[in-house]
Amino acid sequence: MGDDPQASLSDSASSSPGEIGPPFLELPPELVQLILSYLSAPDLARLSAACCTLAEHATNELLWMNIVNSHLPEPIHDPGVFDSFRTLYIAHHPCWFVPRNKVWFSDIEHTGNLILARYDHRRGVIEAYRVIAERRSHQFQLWDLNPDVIVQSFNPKVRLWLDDPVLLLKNRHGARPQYLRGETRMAMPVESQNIFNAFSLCSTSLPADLKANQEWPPSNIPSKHRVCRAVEHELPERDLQPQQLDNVSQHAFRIKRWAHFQTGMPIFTAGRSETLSTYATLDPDLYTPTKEKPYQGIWVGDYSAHGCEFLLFLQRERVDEHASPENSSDSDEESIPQCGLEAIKLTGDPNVPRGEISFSADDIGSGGLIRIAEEALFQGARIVRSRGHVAGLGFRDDTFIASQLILISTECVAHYWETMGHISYYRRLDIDALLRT
Amino acid sequence: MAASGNLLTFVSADNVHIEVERDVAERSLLIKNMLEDLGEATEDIPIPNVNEPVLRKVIEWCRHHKNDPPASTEDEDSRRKTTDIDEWDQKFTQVDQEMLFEIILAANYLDIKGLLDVGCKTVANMIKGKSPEEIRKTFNIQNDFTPEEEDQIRRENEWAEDR
Repeated sequence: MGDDPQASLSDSASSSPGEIGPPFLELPPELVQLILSYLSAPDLARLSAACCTLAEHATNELLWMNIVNSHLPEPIHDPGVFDSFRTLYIAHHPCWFVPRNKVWFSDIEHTGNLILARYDHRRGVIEAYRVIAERRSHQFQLWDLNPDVIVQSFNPKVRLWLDDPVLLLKNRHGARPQYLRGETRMAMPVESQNIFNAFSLCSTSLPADLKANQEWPPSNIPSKHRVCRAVEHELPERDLQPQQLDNVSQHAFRIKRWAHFQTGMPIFTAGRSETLSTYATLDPDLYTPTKEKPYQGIWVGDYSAHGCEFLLFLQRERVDEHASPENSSDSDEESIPQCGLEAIKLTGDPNVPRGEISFSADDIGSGGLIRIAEEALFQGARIVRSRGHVAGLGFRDDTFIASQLILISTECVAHYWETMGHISYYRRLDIDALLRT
Repeated sequence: MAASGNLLTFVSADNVHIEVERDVAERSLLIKNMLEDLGEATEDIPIPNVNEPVLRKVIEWCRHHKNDPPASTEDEDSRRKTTDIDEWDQKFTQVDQEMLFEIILAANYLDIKGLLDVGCKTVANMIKGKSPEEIRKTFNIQNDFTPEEEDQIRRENEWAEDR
């Protein structure tokens, strides 16, 4: 039994059964509830099958409300369309990790896809929508310092594409999908156009000989929870689909989208008319700004002909080899963080695809400082050395070119691609505001 | 014998006198508030319902944790609570079940949140991952369902099964 406390019987319980029960059941109800508040939903289910008293304790609505709310950014106070919080929990078990992790991005070749997931309390469904950004009209701005450089203003309109959900899990009244038995078809409006969608879970177990480009999220993004992508190589079913609840990844899922043509229409091979994409989430620590890492977050950038793309601005912990106390006291005064800034594409384009670095500044503190802008356009902004990532179509001959990062504010930065002679803007996204739309 | 200076005297339910340092005793919010109301405690402090062996265990815990920062109650409901227990506390809770539940009851009565949490987590860890039959064995519980009830409860909880 390892380090379990001995399961000893109290004398009174064994000598006079019925009179005084087992000490666990003799605890005041509020203490039993406190103990049960540490249990997972499946543990509560198993506990309720032990005896009548525990069955009663384990169905307490407050317990189930707390379990449901532990997966939601904004707590709910009634079970909505469900008759109890317990029924609500069970209806979406084991998919609560989808709204809990909110931000998801896919491995679709080149472009990728950024979606936001939530639980819609009114309809009782888990849904996720694509984040889209329109560049809207822009004006050319004049940069006094170098009038030849092209600078375009950037005030994109970012919203969720609410017409067409990417993910929709709805379960009412008993007929629960068997998520562990393969994919689950999602009935969506696009079915009227003969496009079908199915959701499936990912397994946490990784095949031994997995190559870096077969993992998701990609290696540029820190993660403790990589899964294998469902690329066309024949992976055994067991590596794609979890067989047990313990193997269900809480940080990834897949969506299959396919077209089904009616009789009389041309028949395409399965390979072409079907896409199976793997979605992964981001650790909130990566996109939550802090005092030391004020630029961290999810940003939208202007990639001119390619349109808007979404990026993760990451400020990695740096182990400073020779952190001198003088330097740190200097930085205290102005509170300029001494770390770098990497912009990793969550969505991309055929030149520099999703998952790749778009630009990287090794030190946005004093070490990388070029100057403080005095010209009107960027007045007061710190300008630091950076490197911009460029490549030919298909990410061929990718290389880093010299660039400058213009730190206008923690909500807006600009990037000067020196040899390309243009400056593009980046703006921070408000994920929670988008989720409330 | 009355307590003097920083020493207090607890009297257990079975009438045993135990000396406790004031900062240790104040891990108990019940005692802390009482002392604040009284100002100076000169009398013995009776702790009814808690027997000597249990009271000694509780004091042992308080002494080890006397320098803990005050527990923050914020954020507790929004985040799922973990059942991680630090090493010392794990050793501390390796007692028989009767003692464990007595400690929980005492911690609740004396309002020692940290100890109550450790006790409850320990019991929760004894339930985690176990089948209904294993839970019954662990806590000496009788299966009091009728066959019909048992069948129904099994169907109601099928969703939690692994396969």
